[in-house]
Amino acid sequence: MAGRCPESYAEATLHGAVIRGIVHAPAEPSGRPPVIMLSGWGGTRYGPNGILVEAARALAEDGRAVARFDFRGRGDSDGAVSEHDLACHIEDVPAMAEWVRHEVSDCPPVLLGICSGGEVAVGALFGGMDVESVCLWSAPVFAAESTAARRSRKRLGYVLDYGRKALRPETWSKLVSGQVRFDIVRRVLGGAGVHKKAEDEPTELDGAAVYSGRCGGVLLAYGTADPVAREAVAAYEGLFGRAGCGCTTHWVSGANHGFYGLHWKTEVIRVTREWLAGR
Amino acid sequence: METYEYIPVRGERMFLGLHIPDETHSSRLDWKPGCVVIASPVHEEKKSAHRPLVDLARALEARRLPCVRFDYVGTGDSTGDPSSVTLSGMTDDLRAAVQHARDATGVSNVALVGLRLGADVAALVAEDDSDVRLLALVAPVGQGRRYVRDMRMRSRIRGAMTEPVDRSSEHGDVAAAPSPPSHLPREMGARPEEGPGEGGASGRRGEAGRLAVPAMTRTATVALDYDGHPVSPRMIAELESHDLLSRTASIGASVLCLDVRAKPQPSAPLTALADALRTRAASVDARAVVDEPFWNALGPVEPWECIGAVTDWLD
Repeated sequence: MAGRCPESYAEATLHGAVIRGIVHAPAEPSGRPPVIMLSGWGGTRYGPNGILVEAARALAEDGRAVARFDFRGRGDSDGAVSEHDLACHIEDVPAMAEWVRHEVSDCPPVLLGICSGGEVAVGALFGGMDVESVCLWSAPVFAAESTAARRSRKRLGYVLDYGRKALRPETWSKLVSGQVRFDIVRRVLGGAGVHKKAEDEPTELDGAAVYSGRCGGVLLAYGTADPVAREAVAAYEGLFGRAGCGCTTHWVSGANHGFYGLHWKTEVIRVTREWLAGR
Repeated sequence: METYEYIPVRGERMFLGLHIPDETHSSRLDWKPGCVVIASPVHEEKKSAHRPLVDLARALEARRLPCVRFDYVGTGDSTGDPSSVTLSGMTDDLRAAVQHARDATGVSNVALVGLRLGADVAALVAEDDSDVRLLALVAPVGQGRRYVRDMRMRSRIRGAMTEPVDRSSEHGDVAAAPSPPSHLPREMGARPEEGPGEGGASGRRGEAGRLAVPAMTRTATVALDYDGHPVSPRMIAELESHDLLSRTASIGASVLCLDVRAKPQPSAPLTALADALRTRAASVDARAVVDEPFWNALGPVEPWECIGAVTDWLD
């Protein structure tokens, strides 16, 4: 039954901000690598339809410690929503891992990311993080954003976003006080994104890129009705293949992005448990 | 100061967050009411509304108003079977959170803020708790049958937008799975075998007219698969019979009915609910704020207009 393994509240700190989460202790100490779960872009540590809670409880039954933290600016963690993007989320992962290493286990962890949490896991690998393995559930791929059409759509989204912001009283207050960053606005509407792209920033994976962290294996789990799945799986299989990292792909028949159905949710959890148990 | 803990409720551990202003500030515990308790929605609305409700709690704390948030048993980080979530259970959980708020602050007067189904639960609790002084209902459901209708509609839409899944009956028969798309390069079991007792289908009904669902974490029978949330027949029945407009019990609190929509005028259903509440509440203020219905948002949102309207009204 769910919820039978001990669960406790946990806090990690990064740059003075508190990252809040839940840690699931294993049913029996097993020495298996702990799992760090990474939620989606707008989500919380429990995930869409509670899938991360259900998965964490199942993995704890299998003898693994599991940590589910909210990223900064999301869920219960400190920080403003609008000030934290994927780059910040990637920066959060080593802080979560350090907490887990210190409090739970010094084994390299398994990173399990859903939706953009999967992108964050890959970003952490590119940042040089060593992990036992990675599970990507419905993770889109940075490289898939590279086409002109998608960039155009993103730019339209930024225009609409700024349009909405222009209607807010606090925006006018910032204008008067000189707090509006016109250089950022110009760069975003020009198509360069919110953050100036650094040479090593993994916001778009180069076709020949190989991550710098160590990773013993990858599970890709996608729904066949997920519109991002096809190009994402091709990209990630290529990426990890070039790095010589074993990659296993599982397609959940009929499932949409995020596994918004009881059977899809159950299937992806079961497959992940089996895959991790076999390692 | 923001702290989190579990409290025992209905044999489970209910996760709860307290936002208590620092003692270094002049605490508002003399304020009437002494603590705000926030009742969240459930299902995917809870996930989308989670952060905005955290921002609301922090905004209240910044005004030195103590605040409590919690996850109903079987939801969020609370333990419990998700398929056993019911309207009556949610009401019990809110009562437990209110009692905990009273214990934490030492003040019996409280304000309740509820969003969507959480608003309806807050209204039900306010009926039999005379120490609820303020009651803010944000986008309340009002009539449970509308919520059930929306759940069923969304389930049908999801079924239409995804590939049909033909699976086993409650007896564990495994039907042939649809062929995987031809582009799939590698597979790790396109049609996983399911063990006895598992099976069922998203949108397919078993003999009893109820969905058979995997048994991993569920003890109650499931009537509806709502975006991956198991909804029990009891929850459906309680929602079908729930109607805030037809209730007659008096409410001692002053009530805010707040719509969150693209227009600055309250919607017709909210106006009707406010009119019904005027016959039984101390006072009723119905209004709307122009903001995003954040409980349906896919991405992160900051509904400051709504948060500002609620905090201003409470303060």
